[in-house]
Amino acid sequence: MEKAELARRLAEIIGSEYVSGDPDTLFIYSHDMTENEPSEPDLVVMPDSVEEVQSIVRLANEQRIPLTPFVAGANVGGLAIPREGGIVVDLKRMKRILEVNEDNMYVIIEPGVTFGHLRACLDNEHPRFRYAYPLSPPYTSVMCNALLDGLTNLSTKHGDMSEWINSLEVVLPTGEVVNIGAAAASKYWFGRAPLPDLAGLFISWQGTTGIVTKMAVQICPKYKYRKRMFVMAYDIDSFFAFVRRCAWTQLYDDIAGFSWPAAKMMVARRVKLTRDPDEPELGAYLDFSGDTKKEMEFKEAMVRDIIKELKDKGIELEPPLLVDDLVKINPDYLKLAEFPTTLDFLIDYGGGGFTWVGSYGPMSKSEEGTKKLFAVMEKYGFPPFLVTRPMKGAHYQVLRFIAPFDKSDQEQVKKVRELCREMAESLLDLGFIPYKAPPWAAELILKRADPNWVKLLKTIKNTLDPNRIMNPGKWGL
Amino acid sequence: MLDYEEAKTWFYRCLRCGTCKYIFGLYLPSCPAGEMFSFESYYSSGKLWIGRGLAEGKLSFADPSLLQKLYACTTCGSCQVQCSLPVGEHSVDIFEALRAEAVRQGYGPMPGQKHLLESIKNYDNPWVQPRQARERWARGLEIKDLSKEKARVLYYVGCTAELDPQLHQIARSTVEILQRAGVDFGWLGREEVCCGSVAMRLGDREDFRRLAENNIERFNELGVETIITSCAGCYKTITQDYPSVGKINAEVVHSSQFVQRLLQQKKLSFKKKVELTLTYHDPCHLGRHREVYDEPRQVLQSIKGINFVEMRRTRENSWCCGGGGGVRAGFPDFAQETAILRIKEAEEVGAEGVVSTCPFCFQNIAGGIAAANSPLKMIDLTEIVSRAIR
Repeated sequence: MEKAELARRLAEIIGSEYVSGDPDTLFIYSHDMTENEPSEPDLVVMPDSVEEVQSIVRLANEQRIPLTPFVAGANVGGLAIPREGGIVVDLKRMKRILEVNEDNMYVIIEPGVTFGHLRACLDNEHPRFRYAYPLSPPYTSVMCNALLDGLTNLSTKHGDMSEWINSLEVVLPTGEVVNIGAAAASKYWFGRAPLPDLAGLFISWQGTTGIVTKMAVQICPKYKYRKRMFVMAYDIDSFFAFVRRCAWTQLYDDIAGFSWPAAKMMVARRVKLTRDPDEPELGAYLDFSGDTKKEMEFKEAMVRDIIKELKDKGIELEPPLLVDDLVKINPDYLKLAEFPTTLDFLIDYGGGGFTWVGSYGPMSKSEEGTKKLFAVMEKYGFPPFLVTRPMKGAHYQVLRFIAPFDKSDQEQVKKVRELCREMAESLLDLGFIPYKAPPWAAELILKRADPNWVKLLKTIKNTLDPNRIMNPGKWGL
Repeated sequence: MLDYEEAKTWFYRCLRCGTCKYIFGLYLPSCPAGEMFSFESYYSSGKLWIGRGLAEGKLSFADPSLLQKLYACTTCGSCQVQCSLPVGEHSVDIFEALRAEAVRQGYGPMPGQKHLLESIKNYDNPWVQPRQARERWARGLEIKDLSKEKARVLYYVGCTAELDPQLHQIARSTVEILQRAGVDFGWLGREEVCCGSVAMRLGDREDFRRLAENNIERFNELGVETIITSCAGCYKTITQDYPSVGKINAEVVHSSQFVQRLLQQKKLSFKKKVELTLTYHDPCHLGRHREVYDEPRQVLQSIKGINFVEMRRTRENSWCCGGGGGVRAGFPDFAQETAILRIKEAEEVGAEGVVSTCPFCFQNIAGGIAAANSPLKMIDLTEIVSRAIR
């Protein structure tokens, strides 16, 4: 179908003001902030309802036109770059919080709902509840984060955010709308059990199996008290010894770690980063909450006990600092006091490029992975920039290595591509698996994966999307 | 003010994190263009990425759809407040540099805006009015003509308050206040020329410079100590953009600041109660661009009987009226929709009237009130003050 005719047909569905083939718009939707190659769509559309999404999908399926879902715009991994052109379906107009069910502790949201908006809704209208917030800009999509196995400040306790999904409404690549989870058989979207868990057909599939138009996610009680404290460690082994010990108590909401470049970027606003002598190599922040002062005192005392216990074993750690005290030293620490937060200190590198290789893997390999990857980063001339946390009560660990870079410098873009590939390979060697895997990383995973798993993946994809219209090029599909 | 080459150095400083799109903490929309047109390209980050495309030769100013993105922006600067990266501090300057380059290459501004620039060239005002029309509002008033006699203060009325009959009351009220306070002031009458704000916002740097040079020379010849503006746009332009052209040997204040000063000096006092529930709309050019937030509020709150209420988005987080940056001329529907959102916000807090300190905001919000059939009244701060001092 000619582009003009396609635009006309799409305009019939959603109105011409929400269909664009403008060169500038296509240029913007062809990039993300990472090193992944840009690729232009033919058109961008902005539906406002599930019916409109359905009609767009039916038209695309009939005409064999690729569709790439897109929401807030702060995209990574090339996941929303339309590798084979076609139509980018920008879902940000669908931004309604449809239901907040306090009794059953879930909210039903549309794709365009961001962490900031959910936070405002809960704080203003449902103050007994909270959701979890990632270390990302405040206007990223709650739904995308959950669908892509993202993590947040409650992941140490509860695991990656796909575990918070109760139910889904999905437009399948052939245009049918299907309810998944409890929503399939109950008017309450309370969970995924006890039905066969079909949510797995859409989680981490990177939009290759359909467009999710509604999602119920769990919300948690918001406790009366909450504290955040920082503990600094002088070397990688000490840091992970401390993190592991705290995580195994399963008392803390969050135990997130960061390496010295992150602290330096925040406090000193430095871009050219060198570690000062005697500077701690890694720091951790611990969040804990409770309904009574006694509970809080116990959790705080426990951290101090753990530090003492480890010190007695010769492990060097700084005494804990409460975020309130740090703010007195430097108000910039306020940015780490509450989420969602602005991440200006992390992203003001100067070249408009920002990428990372994030991976989930065995906690037992955290030290080795960190040391190995720091060496890789230094080899390529990048500071050893890590964000890490134990996940789901210490059942696995996330290691995320971050590389800000200058996107206008093609040599640096090339270098960062090589760096990311080598980091991903190293992590896979250790048993970690990249999450939100860019197409090039997905290829590495597929090469090592069980061939029957890959075959099953393809069978499922072909069954759901026989005309291969949904976000082609991702997961090697 | 940035030139295009300087602006280019900022194109690669935005990741498109999206923080510019909403007001942090309130999580309400901050960008009128993004809210109206929705596509990424209309937001601040989108325009910066358009800059990348232009710098890389992948996009061209010759493309009318690209011009639409550059000009469908009220230059309100809300993105500038929300963005916490260094590039954010320069967003509006960057957008204006892009517009200036579009004009330099012969493509900008938008068709609906070109008559404004032609009018400035022909009549020294953007409203296609003869020069003598500037004197109409002052009929019956006795004001010193500074082209003939001296005074300590110049009242620089501004094209919009002078030439839009709906807004003559702003100028008349200002004169009443100054006279009541015994201020030694005068004006330029038909010899006043546009401050150049419209030319600057639309990218006609050549004409802006002509007007600025002319005004700076004239202001300095007058030997006044103080220049008062009624218009937030004039105030921003003279205080923020003129320094790159030349130095003015007088302080420049907005009328709201001057009235507050008169109150502090006890040269003015409020005798009459004004029994109204009022809210204050921060003009972008006075608030976000020049950080004048307190004085208008202090004046309003000094008047007995006024029940002052704040809207949800206020001060640096204010929602733009929708009229600035050439949007009212170039995109009237967008300007009106944006004003109506502001009107709804004022209604939500129970206001009977919206007070502002900018004739441009007045025009656009008044238009929105009429279109929305709202019971709200649009009022300039000086009108309220003049009621209270009688």
